[in-house]
Amino acid sequence: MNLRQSFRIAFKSIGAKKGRSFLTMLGIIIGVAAVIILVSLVQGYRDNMMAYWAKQGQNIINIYYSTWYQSKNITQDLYDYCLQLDEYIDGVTPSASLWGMNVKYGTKTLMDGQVFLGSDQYSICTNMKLASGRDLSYIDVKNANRVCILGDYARENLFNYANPIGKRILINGEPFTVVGVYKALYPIEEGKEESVWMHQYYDGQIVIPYTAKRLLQPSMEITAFTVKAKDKDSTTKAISYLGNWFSTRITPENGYYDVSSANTYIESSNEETRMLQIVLGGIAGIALMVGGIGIMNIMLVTVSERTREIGIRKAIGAERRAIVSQFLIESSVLSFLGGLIGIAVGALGTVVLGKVIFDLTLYPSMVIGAGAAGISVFIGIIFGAYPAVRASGLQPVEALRAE
Amino acid sequence: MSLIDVKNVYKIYNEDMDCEVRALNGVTMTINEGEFVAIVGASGSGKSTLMNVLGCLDVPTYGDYFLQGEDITELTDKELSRVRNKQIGFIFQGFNLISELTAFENVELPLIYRGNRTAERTRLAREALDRVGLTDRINHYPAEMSGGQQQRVAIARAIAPKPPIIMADEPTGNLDSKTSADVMQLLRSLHESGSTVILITHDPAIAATADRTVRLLDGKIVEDSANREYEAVL
Ligand SMILES: Nc1ncnc2c1ncn2[C@@H]1O[C@H](COP(=O)(O)OP(=O)(O)O)[C@@H](O)[C@H]1O
Ligand SMILES: [Mg+2]
Repeated sequence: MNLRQSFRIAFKSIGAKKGRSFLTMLGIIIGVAAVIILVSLVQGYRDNMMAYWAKQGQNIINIYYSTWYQSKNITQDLYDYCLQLDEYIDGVTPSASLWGMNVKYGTKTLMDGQVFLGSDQYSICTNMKLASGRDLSYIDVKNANRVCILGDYARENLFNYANPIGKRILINGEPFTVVGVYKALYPIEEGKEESVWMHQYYDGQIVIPYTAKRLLQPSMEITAFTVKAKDKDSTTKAISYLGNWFSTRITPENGYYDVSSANTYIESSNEETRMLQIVLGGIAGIALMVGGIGIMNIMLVTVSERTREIGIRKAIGAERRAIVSQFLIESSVLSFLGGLIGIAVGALGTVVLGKVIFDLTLYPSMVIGAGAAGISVFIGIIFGAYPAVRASGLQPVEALRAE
Repeated sequence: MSLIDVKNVYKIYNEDMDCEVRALNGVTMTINEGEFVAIVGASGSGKSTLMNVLGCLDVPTYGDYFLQGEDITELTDKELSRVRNKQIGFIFQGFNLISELTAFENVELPLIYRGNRTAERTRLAREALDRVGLTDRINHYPAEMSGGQQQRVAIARAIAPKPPIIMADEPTGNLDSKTSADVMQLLRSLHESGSTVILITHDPAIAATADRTVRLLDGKIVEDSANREYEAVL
């Protein structure tokens, strides 16, 4: 009686008892797949959200104010104050855009182009990166130069593959020279519908010095700003400084202001998904446990049947070792197979459900998968081998008596 | 030296309790090679218990059992498995086939445990199945066969490794008279070809076909006679 024969007998037994073999594997498959899918979905969703915020740039402070009475323009003052806060702040820019601008280059027109009013720190604050040319400069802003930077979508539409640097475009008839082009913040991703309008929206921008607004919409007041802080702590500090600064200028009697950052929002939504992950992970754990109990149940229900089988095998001369190895091989093979299929089903389910539910390409969490598979394989092996370990020590008659 | 030598064997269940049962209450007997022995007795007299001890399926509570001069009570579990595999072919009343395996696979099983190679296994298993007349049923599952056919598969399984001793515990107990006759014919021919056959039965006609009859009563041998004497007693 050698190992090969143990394998032969085990495989024969697995094949002969297809129903039970399948049910045993099913418990493992469902448990493992459920754990992988639930945990991976939440993890993927969370990662994706984090990636979104990372793209948008973190430690961003949004400022908004309005005054009941015509007030003096505070943009320059705020800009100067932010320069003083350079210990905490990397940049500040107005966060204002001019809608419905007619943007033209030669015969080409940019539909739904959005003209943003920016400071020389616009790209720092909005996380835009230059692809070519240069950024807006302090002089551009100071002198209200007729220059602009194009987003990727705007460049595509106006220039296609031509080099736009140095060319003149017309915004509502006013000539502006293109000095720079941004890289796409949201490139179009194959098969991802939302990436198309994200691209149009975020990369359809044309940035001009905010002082140049007087050429286009002189009456417009800039009431929103974006400040980029250095880090999390700086964000908190800068918010309180900026709040103080506003409180000396705007009171509830004459207006309203808001200085806040998305950090708190990110943190709370991060916390939320973490909770969700724990809850769903728990549910998945329960699924795994139920799967495990299912395995135990099937194994234990068949203990007496299997005990008789062991009695027969011993009666015709099987050694204890042969029986235990048969059962161990049997349950290991079933459990491993179930674990592998469970991982495959879980991975597939994660990818498919991620696409269907979140329209995201999610990657199954293999660490979790391996853990879940490990646990169920362990349960499978233990409970599969249990009848053998117990019954193979009996006298054959005792095993044969099992009802 | 006799083949089987049982001395003062006891099998006691629930010893020293109110419900103590002495299934074997001091059995001493010897069986020589080539004998055909019928064990008879009322239900509950201890026949199966004795047979299980003789077949090394069970161990006596007290007493000695020498099989081919070897002290069975001293053997390890592993050594007992060897003895069952090599020395004894056991036939049960309830067939005890593995229902998920075909006739051939059931017969092959003891040969696998014995370590025979595939070709040898196939040859021996086919030979055994031929001998019991099931050549055309080798790929059938037990559920697809009649009781008589199943018992013949069980016999084939018992004889495939060519053990010197065949033990059968009421092999015809679950069969009708026609198939019983077939099974008895088989055991008879096994005996004729040199095997030692030990058979439990409560059918006097069947017992009469044996050379020797051992009668049990309450776990004790009350009669042990050669067949002619047995007939004379009748
Ligand atoms: N496992 C057991 N526990 C208790 N009593 C048993 C057990 N097995 C057999 N017996 C008792 O031992 C006696 C002999 O049983 P058995 O050898 O099966 O008789 P037979 O085969 O002659 O009908 C009976 O009284 C039976 O009830
Ligand atoms: Mg009996």
